Amino acid sequence: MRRMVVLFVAIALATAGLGCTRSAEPARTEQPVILTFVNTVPVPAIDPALVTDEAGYIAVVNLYDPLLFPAVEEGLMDPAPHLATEWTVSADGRVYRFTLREGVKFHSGRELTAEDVVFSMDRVLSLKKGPAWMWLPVLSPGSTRAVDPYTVEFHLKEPYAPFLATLIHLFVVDAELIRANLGAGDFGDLGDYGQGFLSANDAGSGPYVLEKWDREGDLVANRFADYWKGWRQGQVDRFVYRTVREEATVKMLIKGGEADLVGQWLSVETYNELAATPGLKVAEDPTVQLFHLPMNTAKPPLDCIYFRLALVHALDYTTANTEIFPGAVQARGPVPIKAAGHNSDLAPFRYDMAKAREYLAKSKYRPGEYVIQYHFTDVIPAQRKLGLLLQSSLAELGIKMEINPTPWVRLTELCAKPETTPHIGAFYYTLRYPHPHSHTFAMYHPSAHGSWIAMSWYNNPGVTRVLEEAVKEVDTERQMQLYKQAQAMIAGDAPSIYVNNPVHRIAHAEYVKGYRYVGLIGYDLAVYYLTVDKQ
Amino acid sequence: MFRDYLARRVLMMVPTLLGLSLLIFLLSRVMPGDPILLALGPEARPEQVEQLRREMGLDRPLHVQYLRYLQGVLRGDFGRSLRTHRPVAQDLRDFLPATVELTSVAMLFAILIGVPLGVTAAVRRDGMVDHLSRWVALSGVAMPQFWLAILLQLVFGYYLRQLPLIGRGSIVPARITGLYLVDSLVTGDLAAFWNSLRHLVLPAFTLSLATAAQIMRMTRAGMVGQMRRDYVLAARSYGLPYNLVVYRYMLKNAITSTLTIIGLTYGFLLGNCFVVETVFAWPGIAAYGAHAVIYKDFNAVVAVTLVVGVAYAIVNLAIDVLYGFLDPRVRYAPE
Repeated sequence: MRRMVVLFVAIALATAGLGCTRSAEPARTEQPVILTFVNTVPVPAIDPALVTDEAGYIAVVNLYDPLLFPAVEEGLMDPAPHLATEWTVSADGRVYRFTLREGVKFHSGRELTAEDVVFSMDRVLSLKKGPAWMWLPVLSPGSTRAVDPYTVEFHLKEPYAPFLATLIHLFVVDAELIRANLGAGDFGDLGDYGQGFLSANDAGSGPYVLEKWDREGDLVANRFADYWKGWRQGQVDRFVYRTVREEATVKMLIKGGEADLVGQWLSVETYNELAATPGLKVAEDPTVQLFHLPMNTAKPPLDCIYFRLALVHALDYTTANTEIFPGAVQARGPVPIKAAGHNSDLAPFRYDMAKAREYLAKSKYRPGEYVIQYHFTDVIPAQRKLGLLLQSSLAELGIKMEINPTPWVRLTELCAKPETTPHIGAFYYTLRYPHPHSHTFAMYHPSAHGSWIAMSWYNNPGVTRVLEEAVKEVDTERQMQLYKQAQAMIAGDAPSIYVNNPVHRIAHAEYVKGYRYVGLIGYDLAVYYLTVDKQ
Repeated sequence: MFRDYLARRVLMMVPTLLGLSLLIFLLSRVMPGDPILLALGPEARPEQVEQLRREMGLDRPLHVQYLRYLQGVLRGDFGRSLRTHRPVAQDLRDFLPATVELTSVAMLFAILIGVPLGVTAAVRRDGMVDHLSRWVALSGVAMPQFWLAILLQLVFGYYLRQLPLIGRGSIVPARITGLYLVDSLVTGDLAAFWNSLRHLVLPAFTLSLATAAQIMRMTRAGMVGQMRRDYVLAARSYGLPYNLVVYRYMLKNAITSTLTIIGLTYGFLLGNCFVVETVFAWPGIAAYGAHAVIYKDFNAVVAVTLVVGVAYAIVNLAIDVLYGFLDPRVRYAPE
């Protein structure tokens, strides 16, 4: 027993001693610029045909090049030339022809050509995962053709207004490298279509090359020396994406200098504390995210527009957007204010109890006839507080509302059928691509019914007609007019209580320069555009 | 005789694990929420949903799904993860060693703290050490793990900067077992060994404290019970040295109940150290399993539960065997 105690003490002393000296760390001769980004969400996948969430997109944006890239340097989200330098659209809006940049190299050293673009699009459409939903309505494998090594054409089944905007999600993979690393699978000669290989390797041409990925831990990528855009002084040599789920630990890491940038999922209190810490900055921007309370228009009493309008006027927006969501901007209709195609003529909903009573009197339902069920995601306290705020106003109107915390998986399941969908839900919906189609057609066209995005089960044939006309309209100006018209019509029908566009916050060390909020998934952390100046 | 005893124990594991697999398989299928819709995202089109459902085998009757799953498990194939998009077996291969290493070191800490303190507390009953150990035991059990973890991080990682705040280690040894300490020692990579050890200290200590408290109390109780036995009186009257009586004879008889705690706790910690893994960003199977539940990644949920169940059964088998070794009455008793 004495020997065991001695051994334990020896281990403890040796460990503490090493802690003091840190002698085990290898000495450096050169100091590469390292940027450590700490996020509470791990990277689930790095295959551009599989990613769906922000963490995955952050990896993909840095390892791969998309056909078009948002105009990040101008602080805009519009799709701008990138791998494609220019393009034309046929008069009928069905054929898109792109000219590719010459001399772009993959990390394998091979030149990127139109065949790679064809392979990348066909791969996404065949796997039917990740971003496939954006193109499946209008493209199928074989619809993308290489005209020559630097020209590629997409032949759409019908005109599709957001097509250009969606191409920021078409990340081009090295077709030859993938063909050389096929595993067994269901895709004939193409086996697993490279899913096994791309689950641990990159096959991109992006500014960073994957060094290692520990799944729940670190993703490390190094500068690609032959990147076609070239490199400037101060740009990041080595990018580390570190997953740390505990907020208190994240705070210690950035305050202690072990992280340079932390993600958007911390509490407001933590960001306030970090903003007050010397050497740190918190960037705050209104998001291109909509936070709203969709109402089930297929269920009484919310199938009555007057009842819905009464609810719309019963929410105290000022309190909601100052006390519950500090800094949030009140939404004006479904499309976020900063998003492309937003209808700025729309007036925000107003808190007006007199008006609410007026609408309630016009409704075919009496206030106490139904108990309204409000469901929110059980892990988001702000949504509970908002429910309480609405509940107190509704009580003044004689409407009883029950607040139901619901696990996310259950909430999404409930929204699959109109009869199980709650009266009111609380949801965030982020812009997927820089086009108003994302927050109109995807939320209010009947084809979207069954998903939580369309939980209001809204069905106005007039709006459906305008949306269907808009999606096929080739003339961009007219197209935007139609989308704005649809937004006005939708807001007038009040299928949702449009609460706000919340604030996006990110904390970083002051020496990290060039950060700009873009709002498109993953693109905020395009590390190529950041510099580190520790002088 | 001992071989029969061992064979009986091993055979008893088979129905236990089969029952566990059936139970967790069914539970994972009736959890609320459609895993396919969750994996594909809200905009998924019907053809996407149909293809993924087919790929995952969810279009087949439940009993066919279960039998196919069992066949797969026997080949070491736990299906694909909906979250990480790769075979769950690969995920387990990456994450399980981290948890095994953390739990094993935590258990070692717990034994090294708990047993000597328990013995000393019993021998010096109502003395200073006894009171101190009681206080340590109470604190160890009462203190929430996340609070203790953050406190240790603040003191040793943030203010004193003596130990790393997070992670398994910045120097990764060549993989043999996936246990960094073992692999670094086998490959002679001492830098990696010390680096891994330093990363282990805070999470392992956090995890060990509650177990150490239990071990301490069980050891103390067992030792106090032995003190009044006739053989102790006889040994003392023959003039045997007191330490020999305590550590050679009394401890051997008193340790069986402590072994039960060690076995049960080791199995429990394997699947339940997700708080420590989360705070210390330790890439282990417990945090992986917890997040699999949140995302309804059903293949991962079943696999983690099965693996933890197997580990639990094996550890308890080892404890049973050890009982038999320590106490001949156990292995010779008719059942």
